[in-house]
Amino acid sequence: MRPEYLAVNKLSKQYGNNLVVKEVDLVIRRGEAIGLLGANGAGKSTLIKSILGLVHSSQGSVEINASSSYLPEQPQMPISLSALSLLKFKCKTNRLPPSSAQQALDDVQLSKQVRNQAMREYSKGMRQRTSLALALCGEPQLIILDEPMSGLDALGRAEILQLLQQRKSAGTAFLMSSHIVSDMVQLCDRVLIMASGRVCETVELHDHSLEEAKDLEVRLAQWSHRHE
Amino acid sequence: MSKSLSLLLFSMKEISNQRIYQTLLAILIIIPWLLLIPTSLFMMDLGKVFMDMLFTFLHLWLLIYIFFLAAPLLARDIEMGTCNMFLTLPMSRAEYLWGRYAGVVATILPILLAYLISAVLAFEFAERTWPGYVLSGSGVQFTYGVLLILLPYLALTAVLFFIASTATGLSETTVFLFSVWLLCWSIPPVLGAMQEQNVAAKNPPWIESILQFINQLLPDISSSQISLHLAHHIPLENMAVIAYCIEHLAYSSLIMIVAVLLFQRRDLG
Repeated sequence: MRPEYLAVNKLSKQYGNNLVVKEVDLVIRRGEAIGLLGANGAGKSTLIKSILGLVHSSQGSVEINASSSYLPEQPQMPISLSALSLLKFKCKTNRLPPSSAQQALDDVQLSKQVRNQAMREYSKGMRQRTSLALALCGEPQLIILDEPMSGLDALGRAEILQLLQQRKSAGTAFLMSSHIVSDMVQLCDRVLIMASGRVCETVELHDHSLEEAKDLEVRLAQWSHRHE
Repeated sequence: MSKSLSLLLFSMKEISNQRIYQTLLAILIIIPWLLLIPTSLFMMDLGKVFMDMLFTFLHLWLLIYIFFLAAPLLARDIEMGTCNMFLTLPMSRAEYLWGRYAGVVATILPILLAYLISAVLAFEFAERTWPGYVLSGSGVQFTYGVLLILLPYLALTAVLFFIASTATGLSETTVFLFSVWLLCWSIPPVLGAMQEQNVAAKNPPWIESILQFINQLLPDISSSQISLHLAHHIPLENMAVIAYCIEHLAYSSLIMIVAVLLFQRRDLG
């Protein structure tokens, strides 16, 4: 059996009287990609932040047995610095070879001309690529992605998706939250449909086809409607 | 520890790349020379007035640095989620907060050095141009004063981190920090006035006790006695200086420890 990179056990998060994540169980193994699908306010981001320890869970446990990284939904980066400086900083703190920074920027195809420019001059898409490069830098075993395709055009999305699929084939595990069902279907092996903080249904994906994407959309709409 | 050190260097680079920092640096090189113009009107007290003005500008730019560079940096980190990027590198919350604090403090040093060099050269020039009106060794006295005046600002920066560790964003951080700064400036002179015999007789002692208590909680950033002594070339007592340094460094460390404890408990959006 492949090693467990992430094990979430009965995780709950409560803000006052509002239970935003309810007893979520989740296991991700090497080379697996799990999707989190749900309407706005379903609890996806809170679940991810609880897993990362940014939000303290009210109940349950999280065990991460792998090197991990995170791509936030709206990456906020130090805009007075360049993408290269930011990635070199990650290399320094994680004791990675400095060449990893250039490699990660090559992987996300951030133009060489802009790598040394301050990020205040970057477009939204370029910032998203930089943030993705930061997540991929050092080849972590588990990558947690919150809306990774946000801000990218169709071509950019296809390129990034291809890159993520390559990493997955090499054994990287993913936990990905997205509103774009077609992207999720292409990468993920399983999708957890969330509504009102609860995992309502787990859908296994087999052929990653358009039909599966349509089916997922229908199921998502049904669960969201039920919890309105 | 190495992660905090990396963050220190990263923060220095991040702050020094901002235009406001570079502008401040350029202005502070010119300021001592410009100050010679108004101070030359007070020929009899030229040396004292010049040093007083330099100290006043030191307070001013340190405040500009804390309010317009350090506070937005930290508030943006927490409000907009930039700190999430650091924490998921991964880095512990304590490493993040100490690294950022050390970075903010260390970035003061280049501008402080530029200001000092420019001021000491201006003192040299004034000594030669108006001999007798500017006492020799004023530059050394000024350097000593600058280093002592810096200490309460390290404490105020720690207070900023304490506030930001629980505040929701820039507005909240700025308002609370401004309130603390206002109290730091206003309470010591009020306490001084209250100790005068005729004033003390008219006020109930509990008011003074409350003010004393608040005063103990805050750093004394005016450092008025230091400025006064050094401008008039009155020597400072060594023991008092040592106690002053220890007091402010201990205060800064204590406030930072509390800030880390609070930051570790909060949920980050």
